[in-house]
Amino acid sequence: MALLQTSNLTKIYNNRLIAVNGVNLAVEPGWVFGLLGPNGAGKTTMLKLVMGLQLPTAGSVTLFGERVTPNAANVRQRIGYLPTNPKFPPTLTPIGYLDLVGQLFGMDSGLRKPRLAALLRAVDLLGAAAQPIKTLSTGMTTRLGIAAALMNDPELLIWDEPTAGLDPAARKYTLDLIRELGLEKTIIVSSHILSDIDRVCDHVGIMHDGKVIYCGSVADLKRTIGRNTIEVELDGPEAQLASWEAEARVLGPVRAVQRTGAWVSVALDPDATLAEPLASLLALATRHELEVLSVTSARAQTEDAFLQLLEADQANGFSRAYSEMAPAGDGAVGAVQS
Amino acid sequence: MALSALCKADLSSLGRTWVFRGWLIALAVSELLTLSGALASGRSGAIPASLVLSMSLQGFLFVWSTFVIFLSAGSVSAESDMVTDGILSRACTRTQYIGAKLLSRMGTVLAVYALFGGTAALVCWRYAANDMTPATILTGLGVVALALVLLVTLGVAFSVASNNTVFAVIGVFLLWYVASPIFAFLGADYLAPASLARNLPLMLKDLNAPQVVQVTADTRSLTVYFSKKMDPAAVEAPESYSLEAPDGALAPASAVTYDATANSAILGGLTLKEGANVTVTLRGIRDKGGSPLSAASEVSRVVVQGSEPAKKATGAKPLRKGPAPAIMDCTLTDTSIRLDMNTELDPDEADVAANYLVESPPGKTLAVRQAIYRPKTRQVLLAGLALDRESPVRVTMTNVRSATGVEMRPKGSALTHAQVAVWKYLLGFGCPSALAALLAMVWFRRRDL
Repeated sequence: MALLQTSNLTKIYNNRLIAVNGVNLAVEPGWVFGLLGPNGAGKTTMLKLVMGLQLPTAGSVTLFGERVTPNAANVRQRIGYLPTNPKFPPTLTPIGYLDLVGQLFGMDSGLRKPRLAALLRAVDLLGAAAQPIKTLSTGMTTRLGIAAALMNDPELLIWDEPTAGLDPAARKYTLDLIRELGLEKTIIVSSHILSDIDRVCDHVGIMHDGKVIYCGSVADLKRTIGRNTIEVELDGPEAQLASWEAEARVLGPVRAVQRTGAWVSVALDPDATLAEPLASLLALATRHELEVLSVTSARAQTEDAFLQLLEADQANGFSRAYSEMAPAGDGAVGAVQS
Repeated sequence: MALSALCKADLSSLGRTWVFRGWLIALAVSELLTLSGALASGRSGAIPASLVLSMSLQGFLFVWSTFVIFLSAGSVSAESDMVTDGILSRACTRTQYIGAKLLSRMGTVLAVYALFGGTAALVCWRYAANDMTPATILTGLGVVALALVLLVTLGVAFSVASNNTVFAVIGVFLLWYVASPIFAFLGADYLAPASLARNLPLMLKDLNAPQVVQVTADTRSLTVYFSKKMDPAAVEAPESYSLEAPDGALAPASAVTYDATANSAILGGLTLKEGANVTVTLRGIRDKGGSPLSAASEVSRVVVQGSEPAKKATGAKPLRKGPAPAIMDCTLTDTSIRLDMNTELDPDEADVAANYLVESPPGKTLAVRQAIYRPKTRQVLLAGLALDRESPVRVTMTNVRSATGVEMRPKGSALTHAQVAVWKYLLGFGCPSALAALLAMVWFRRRDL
């Protein structure tokens, strides 16, 4: 049984803005589910509807088998929520706030106090534990939000743009944390940064204009693109780069090579494995005395798939209406509308 | 647990706000000044304790209500930017959140009110000329507390309805300070803050206690008029009275006669100097039912007149200038009615009981035994009545000219007074408070955050 299930979930603000448009979504226990979409796609509204913080205009949300309402405290008891750019009571200290959160979760003092101390240490906020929240930086506030989301040791984490506004080190720390937590918890994380989702999630839902246009595993997403691409960044004289490019074109599984300055994009046969052509390309670079600065494959694939899905969704135009009005099942788990 | 945690958090943040701290400081300073000033004159008997305490409590209705409005109308709207992220995304319900807001804000306001109002009541009870009983003090304090509860719930409801604290505060301000027409429209004008403030002294005063309504003296005797039938045994004991002139204590009366018709005690066998200021102190005097004399009536002052009361100059031509006499206001006790007049009256005509018609309820005439006019205060006291405070009373005054000789209108002047029962305040403030609290909760549940 799905841990999260939405049924025809719709949110229209003041009869003016359709933020979420008839979404049917299911998230299974154990998934690290990424909700991906451009800014304004409806991700935050979607997560607020899931949390019961906003009322759906139509449709429903079921979490842990229970219908979510604004008063569904028993459901939120099992969730750790991290909002995007979180705001907390400004006059409370991190200790005071985590203590309040612990009390709201019904934790007794003997359990609450050691846990908040451990979490403050884990998110490196011990030094700022006694200062008012209003004096904390964005990064520190987000870290406090992470601590608050973990206070009740929840079964499900819902984190909305957890890396927004963070410096590179904090961003890496957060992504590593999600990956680590994902080993034992179900996580729903939203982001508009594709690489973040690609790094930590095993399943993804892509939102566009309030609709989920794809929902399934990241591996399936990559397969849908039907392309197998390696991007290599090389450093060396132009003549050697040109000869490397010429030789690369005639390698077995290579279908096309496109070079822009030092960046070379090598398209492979769809069913080719990556290891063999990659080894050949690197050997070729060594032979031409070129320095390999970077090699990427998956990121580009996911990005291409993502963009292709968005383009397809837009290109479908009016015909989308028919597929959306189709009976139950359309737009549901694993469905890719193209 | 969530409710108590939210309450504690709200109380803690409330304690850190400058509005709250400023309120406490201003309240402490103001109460100190009001009470010390009022008590100084209260000790001399000029201001009764009920009036001193009502002045203090009126402050909560008009001045301190501003702080109450700020504290309650900002309770939810001031947190609207962080309530979702910080509070409601955890394991608490919206009902618990609003419930905690109502409880903590109401608790804070009532605790402050109990501290300062209670202290004022205690000080008045102990040090001023006491004319209150514990029951009347609790009634007065309770009714003002109910008004504050209504104000807090209105504030929280407005705070839920508007995300903008300024709009919420302005909304409650308008409702509270311009409330009279609304309450009048609803047929409950006694609930308007101004009306409640007017009624407070009467609510605090012990209306059952007998009072001294007038003292007159000539060189040989002194007469004390009471507001109701007295116990003759206590009234006729000479040791119940002590007389003092500015140059020392005077010899006690040789005999005291109680006149049951006029409710008066005549102290005979005195030797008083004409024009002297005499202070009369009464002790141990009770009415027929056993209620002791009101503390505010224990000490009276009188100027000794000549043996023959000064007759009104005859032949002097009336000026016939000024307004026609009219009743401005009236105050009721169980046995008397005090009329506040718009102008000075002709004392000879104002003292005639037949010139007054008292009906309670209107249509049922009550006998007026005695009418006493006090020129200094322009008040007429109608004594010897048996009034039911639950029924409205209509007083009609006829055939009384002003001191300048201006006659009344042909139909005279009439005023109807309906004293408000405490249960009406309980319902009048309690029901809207409950409704506002319920609305706030329902509203908040239906709102997108």
